[in-house]
Amino acid sequence: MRIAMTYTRLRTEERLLLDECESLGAKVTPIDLRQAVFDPHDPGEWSRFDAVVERSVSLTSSRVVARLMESFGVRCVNPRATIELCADKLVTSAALVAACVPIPYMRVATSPEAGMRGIEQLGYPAVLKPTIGSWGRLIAKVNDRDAAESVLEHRDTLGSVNHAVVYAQEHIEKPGRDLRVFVIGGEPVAAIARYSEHWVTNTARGARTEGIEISHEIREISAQAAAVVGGDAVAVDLLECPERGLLVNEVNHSMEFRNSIDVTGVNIPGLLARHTLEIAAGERA
Amino acid sequence: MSDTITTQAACPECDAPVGFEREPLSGQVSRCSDCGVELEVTCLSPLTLEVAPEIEEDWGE
Repeated sequence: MRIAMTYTRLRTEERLLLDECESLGAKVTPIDLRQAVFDPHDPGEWSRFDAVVERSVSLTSSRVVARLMESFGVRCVNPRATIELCADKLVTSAALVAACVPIPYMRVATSPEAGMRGIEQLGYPAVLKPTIGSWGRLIAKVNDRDAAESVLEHRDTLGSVNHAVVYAQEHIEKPGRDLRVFVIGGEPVAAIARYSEHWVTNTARGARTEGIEISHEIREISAQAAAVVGGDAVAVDLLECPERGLLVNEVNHSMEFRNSIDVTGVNIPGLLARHTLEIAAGERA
Repeated sequence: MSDTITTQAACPECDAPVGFEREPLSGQVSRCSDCGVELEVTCLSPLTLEVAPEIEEDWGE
């Protein structure tokens, strides 16, 4: 079987995946996307692959690969539909709501004025997020009207078109942590808690991680969220709301796992490698 | 011509040698242990390192 891995930066995660595939007897061709040229009329060498593992750190590159692989009839891990559902927080939220998966209360607007009304409906503090973005970048907790107006004005004046959408979320008073569940092939395989003194509990922002047991509730909601976006491997971020229990905050299609292997004792890249090999061998859809 | 794989190159920021335990791959990210700058492999032959680009808006998980 022939497997390729596309990437824009070869990080620890990609190295681990290559090693795990190799230890399972599969040779994976690493492809630096910055060197790649595609001809949509002719899949060429791409058609030789039974599966392509897409690991770009750039969402734009991920979308290019996923769209082209779909048109070439080459199975992409994750598939295009999953990437599109996870790429934009509004798209993810709408899909989760449609499937009755609990998420924080939120408001969406396309102008700063309407955005202000939405924030006031939620009450303070509220959290403003770019619909496209990751690693906790540019998310803002606004504690009052003055702060909300400032952030919206800054985004409207300085932001790119991606910031034209106001995506406001109620602020959940979480217990100093959020949860992340790694779901592979629809099965929650590992979970961590991310602790921080800061209200943003993201490892990219320095949060400390700890492995946790996958309780029945965690298993149920994370599997449900993963089923909504489909695909092969996603990381589901959960918030523990004191009143409403577990809520899905985000679903990530290009999960980072280097800091979660030791703390959970779960070989996450090994499981993803096995899953990929099963897809390439035609044992999984 | 030697088939030996080069696993060491100079840091473009401070000129310190940056080594790799295994054969590096194109796009591999590393860090200079002397000056701490994040580096990226931009060419394998000869092995060339450049300062890794800043995080862009669409980067992430």
